[in-house]
Amino acid sequence: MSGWKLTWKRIHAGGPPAWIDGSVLCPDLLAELPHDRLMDTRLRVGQRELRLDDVFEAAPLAEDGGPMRMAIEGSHRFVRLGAGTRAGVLEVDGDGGDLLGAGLEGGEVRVKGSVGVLAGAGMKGGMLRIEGDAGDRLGGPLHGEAAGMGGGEILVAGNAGAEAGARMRRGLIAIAGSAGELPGHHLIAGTVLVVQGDLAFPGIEMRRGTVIGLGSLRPPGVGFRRDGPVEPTWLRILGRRLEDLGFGPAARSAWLSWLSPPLESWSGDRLSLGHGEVLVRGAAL
Amino acid sequence: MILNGTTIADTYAEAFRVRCARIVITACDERWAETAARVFTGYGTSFIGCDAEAGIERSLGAHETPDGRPGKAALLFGFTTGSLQKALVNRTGQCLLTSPTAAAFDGLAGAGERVPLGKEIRFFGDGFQKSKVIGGRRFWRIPVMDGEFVVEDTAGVAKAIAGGNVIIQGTSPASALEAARRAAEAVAGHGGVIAPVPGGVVRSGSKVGSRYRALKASTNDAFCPTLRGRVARTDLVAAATCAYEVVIDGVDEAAVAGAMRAAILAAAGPDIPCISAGNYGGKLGKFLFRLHEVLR
Repeated sequence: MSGWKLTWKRIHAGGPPAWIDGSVLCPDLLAELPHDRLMDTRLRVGQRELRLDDVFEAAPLAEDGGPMRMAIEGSHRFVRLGAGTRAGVLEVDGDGGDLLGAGLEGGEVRVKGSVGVLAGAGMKGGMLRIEGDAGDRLGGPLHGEAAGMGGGEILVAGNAGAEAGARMRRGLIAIAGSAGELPGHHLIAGTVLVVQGDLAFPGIEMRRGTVIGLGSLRPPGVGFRRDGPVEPTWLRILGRRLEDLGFGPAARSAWLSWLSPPLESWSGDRLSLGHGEVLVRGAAL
Repeated sequence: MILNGTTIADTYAEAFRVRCARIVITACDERWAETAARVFTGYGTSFIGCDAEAGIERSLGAHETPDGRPGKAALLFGFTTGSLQKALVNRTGQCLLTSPTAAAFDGLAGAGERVPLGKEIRFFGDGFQKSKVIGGRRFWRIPVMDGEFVVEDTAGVAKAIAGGNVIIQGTSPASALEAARRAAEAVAGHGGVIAPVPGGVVRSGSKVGSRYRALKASTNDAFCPTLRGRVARTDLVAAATCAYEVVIDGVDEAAVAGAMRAAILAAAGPDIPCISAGNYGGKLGKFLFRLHEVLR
């Protein structure tokens, strides 16, 4: 299966000077279209509705026997790029803007650059891979929704902003760098893993789920109680999964040693349901 | 057919369609994985009186298991999906939940049919249990005294075959047993099969039916050396004074046939005048493994 590669027209090099609604730029919607229908696809840019042909050049991707694909030059002015994708692979060469992959249901979105706020908001499945940094509320709720992402996996090779995994109700967020404060804020279920830096106010008002930090804990919320050192077997399954995804260090079994015991466990938040847990490598500061 | 001086009888083993599940059992080290697997597959020699036929298929390296710890793959066979599921849940709850550091995972991810496993055992957690979905698979975390018992939510069930067999006749009990040991070791090296009987060898091969109405099976008198003078027909050759049977259950016909072939090749030799097989006249089992054909 092949697809299309979209590059900015020369007059829009780096992206047009207005926000671009990227919700139509999904591989399952566009990859199999013939050229004329592809270029006739409507796209909101700022206050105007343009044709794809007004903004992009399109070239076919080589057949590689894999799933349907789209490759797009990135821009920080994208909003909802790849939102609602159900299948296929969207490759973004550059930044992905805000609300990248919102409501993703399947397939994969790969971003070589960084993304803004609410990447993966409300996603239900599939995978987001972000090679740069992510903004605030990664995997958080869409506007007006009570719950954040419900499934799928988000992998961030860089750092993430505040409230990563806010109101998340299942799925996995793994951040190879550091995260801003309040990771897992109002977490309903799922797992948020932060490899570097300290966890600042993790899991506040969490109901269930797990926030894992391989740094220290700064400081735990009043609704948390220390369980003590733990050696969870399920973290080894998580490590094996991250290894299989090719995320993180290239060395074999590096994840298994990163996630190996001991970890300090804190249960909470008792100000909410209290069935959540925060696992940290270091001591509470 | 003569193989290494042993006559290979022109007969067949008659086997049945059953269901199987594969469970990957891991633990902190090889010793405890072996302990858990042995207990899990214990008392699983025959459908006649056990809830399932069970055995350890093979050892697994740390790179082959979902949690990167040493493990064993165990196969469990049942006549129906329902009976297999009941045995699976009971054995996991009584033998793996109790084993130090053990965890239990599904080993038939691609199976079309799935049955609840951790989904049923999770209640032992008394409300403190949690689940995690990783890579599309759900695992239950049940709090126990050494941390958590991790068990997969469901297990795959596939169609399988039970009752492949070879009957090894020796000129003495010692030679027959030694040949049977070699055959059992050859079967143990085959993937996709188990020999559920003790050490892979059974001394009390059976026939269907009995003079006692309550019994489903009874001694295979045609192979009993002490009954040679009393029965209408004996299947022991003149030089044989003892027979042992190696029973083979497997995931498919190729696995069972391959294991039977390996067993015959290992057993044939001096002091083994004949190798034959047990069947029911072709009337009960769907799968007939002709000894001469498996050796081709």
